[in-house]
Amino acid sequence: MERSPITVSALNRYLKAKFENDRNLGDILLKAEVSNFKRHSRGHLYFSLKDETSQIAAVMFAGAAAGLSFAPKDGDKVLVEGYVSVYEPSGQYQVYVQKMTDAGKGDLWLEFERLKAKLEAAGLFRADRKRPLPRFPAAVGVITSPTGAAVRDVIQIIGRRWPLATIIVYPALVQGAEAAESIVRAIRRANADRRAEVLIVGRGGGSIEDLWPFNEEAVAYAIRDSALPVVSAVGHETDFTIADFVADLRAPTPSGAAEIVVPDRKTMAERVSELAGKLDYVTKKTLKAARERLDSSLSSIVFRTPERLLEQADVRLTNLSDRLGRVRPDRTLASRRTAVAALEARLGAKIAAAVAAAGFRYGQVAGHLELVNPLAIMAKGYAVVRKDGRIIRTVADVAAEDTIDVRLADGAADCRVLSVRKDA
Amino acid sequence: MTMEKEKELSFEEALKRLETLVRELEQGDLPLETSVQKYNDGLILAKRCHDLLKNAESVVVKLAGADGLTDFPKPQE
Repeated sequence: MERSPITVSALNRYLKAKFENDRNLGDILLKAEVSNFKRHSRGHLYFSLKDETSQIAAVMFAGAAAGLSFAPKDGDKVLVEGYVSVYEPSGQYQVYVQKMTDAGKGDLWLEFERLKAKLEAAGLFRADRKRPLPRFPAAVGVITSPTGAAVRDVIQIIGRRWPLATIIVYPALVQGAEAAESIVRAIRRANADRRAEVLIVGRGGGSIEDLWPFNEEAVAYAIRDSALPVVSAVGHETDFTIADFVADLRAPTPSGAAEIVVPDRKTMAERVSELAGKLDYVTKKTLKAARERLDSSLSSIVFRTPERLLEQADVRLTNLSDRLGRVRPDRTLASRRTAVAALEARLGAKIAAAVAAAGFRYGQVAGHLELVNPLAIMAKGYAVVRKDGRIIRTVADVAAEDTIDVRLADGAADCRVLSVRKDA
Repeated sequence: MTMEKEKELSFEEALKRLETLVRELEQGDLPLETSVQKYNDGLILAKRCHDLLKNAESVVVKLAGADGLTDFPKPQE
């Protein structure tokens, strides 16, 4: 028998008529869980209705959606009234929802709560096992799909904030039945590699089913066992997964994780400038203080101390000579002589060392500050005038007939004051 | 510290040393000569930090595949 072909449009139109003429499909009451929920800009709602083994597409037009008494979201258990028909352009059959009511939490949420309680009891969420993140990681490991939006966002943000870091992408499946195992393998591999110093584990937004691998026990334990600190970055701000509770830090999104794991180049440049400024300020202050100290101690260190040491040595030497003169030469002369010679030698060495130390210290300090050497000033013709060892700075301190000591660069003169005149 | 060593420091190490050095200087009590030496070291460290920040071009991205690390394909815009 000869058959004439029909068009696709004709077939879909025929199917649509079949669906709509079916008594059972024209008015159904369905118990289901909401999944893949999307709100279209015009107010239409698109989602899937599912149970443990099966799902069906659903649409609720803006007019019907306006009558909703709750804001449906993924995982919600619902009761739905409507009809089933075919959308001709795609040939897809779906539930056209006219009424929908909340029927309590979905099973996945119950499973989530059960696992969360179990792992919490096992100590996986304890605050004291959260590790600090490295401040400046040289390499950041990213465990996610190498083709998703998450990896693109992370690369872009780290590239902008901290291009000093290297990014190592450890590819993993992030949805579906094999995802959990794939994520666990990637975490272990990153730990075996030890190239990255911190790990971002996550994916972009999706339905609760899409994010489910991050609620798996195996992933939770892999994060717990990771020697590298882990930042979780699953879905959107409002999505919470088990991985978020186990991770050392939860980032609201993959982009957020990128912001957290690396510092900001601009902020760091400011910090370095601030430190350089402090360095300058503190050093200037130190030099200023040293200069003041030097100014105030020039006379004692440079002039007095070596001389005082010499005077003391002189006294001791005279003392020893006197005692030597008093002893009986026939008895201990030889041994005394030796003792005196030894003392003289030790004294001489000590004086030399003291003078050298004072001079060295002065040289150091003066060298740093480029101060004018007072001895050099004296060499130009200036003199230091003293009476009874004290420096004379004003004519008020001398009177006629006083004996004064005038020290020049290469020696001293003992002088007697003839008269005193104060400048007008 | 020598100039050569400072040229190889990571940003973290250079910044840490700079922070330590400024803290030591702020506490005072250092001999003048040491202060001046630390000041010079600090200038070199600050320059190293700034150079690292300025010269970092674009981030290096690697893919950990079956046969080790390879260059990550440029993400599609």
